[in-house]
Amino acid sequence: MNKAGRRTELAYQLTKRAKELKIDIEAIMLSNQAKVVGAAATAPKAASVLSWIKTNVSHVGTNPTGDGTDARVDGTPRAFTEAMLKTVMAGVYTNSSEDLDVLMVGASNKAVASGFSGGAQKTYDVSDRKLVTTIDVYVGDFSTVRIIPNRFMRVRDALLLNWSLWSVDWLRPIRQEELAKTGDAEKRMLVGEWTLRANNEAGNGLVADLTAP
Amino acid sequence: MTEYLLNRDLQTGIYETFEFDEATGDITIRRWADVQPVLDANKSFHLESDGKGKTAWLAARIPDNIAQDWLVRFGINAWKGEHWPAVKKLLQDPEWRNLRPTSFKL
Repeated sequence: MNKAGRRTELAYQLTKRAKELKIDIEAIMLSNQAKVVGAAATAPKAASVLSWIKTNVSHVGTNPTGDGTDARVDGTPRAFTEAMLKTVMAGVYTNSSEDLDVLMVGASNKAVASGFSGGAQKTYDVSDRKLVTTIDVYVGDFSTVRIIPNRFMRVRDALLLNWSLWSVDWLRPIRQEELAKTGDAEKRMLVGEWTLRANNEAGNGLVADLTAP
Repeated sequence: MTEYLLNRDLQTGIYETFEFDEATGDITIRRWADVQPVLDANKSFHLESDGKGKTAWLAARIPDNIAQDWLVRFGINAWKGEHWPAVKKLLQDPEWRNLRPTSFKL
């Protein structure tokens, strides 16, 4: 019997599924999800970034309590403006001793945000698929802003993040387990348990309820 | 060893491939993208505009793959504000000049 390639196929499938899992984790962290405490018949859920940020927010809907217990209530979307961004950045400046790392937005609002600096919007339209994802660095009188697109976040949000104020904490790091055979196939399970920790939500910001042009 | 396609992102143009060594069990994942369109856009923008806006100036446009390369080779994280002085230094190096669509002093 020629088993050539079976180990390769198993490793390939495990790598693909691990990648899917990583994407799922990122999408959950950027979704609008409140925490759920686990029980015998209830799967636990981590509170997402959006259920933490409440201090520096430009919004139409309702802010969450800010401890992860409830999600945001979305409001009617409006166009992203420079004034909204400046107000939230000023709030972060006042409420935190640290600088922001990035402005994270959906692809369509990255083009809008790039336009805030004037002139650059037309040449650097990210809908041009020939261009790979980039970090756009804007230098101002008082701050440097890095604009990055994220395809897994909601297009209605623009997040101003300080990486050092967040961490992913693992109760059980992802590992693979062999499952019992029920047929000819080999089965594996990838399992892990994590949560998102907010060290200080007031050092971050959010422009919520945005249209996706 | 056979190279398998792991992921192709049509939006960003990023490719990832997978290789497995049956003898050693080593997995190799390669990730690449054609960054030339970004470099070309930076160069053409340079001719059209100085990048000066009302409140902020466009200083650099760094493809993700290059930022990842800097992280691995130099330990410099272009996504972090605290690494900006080191990023600034790299951007002033002639080797990376095409990451800048503008030439104002950083």
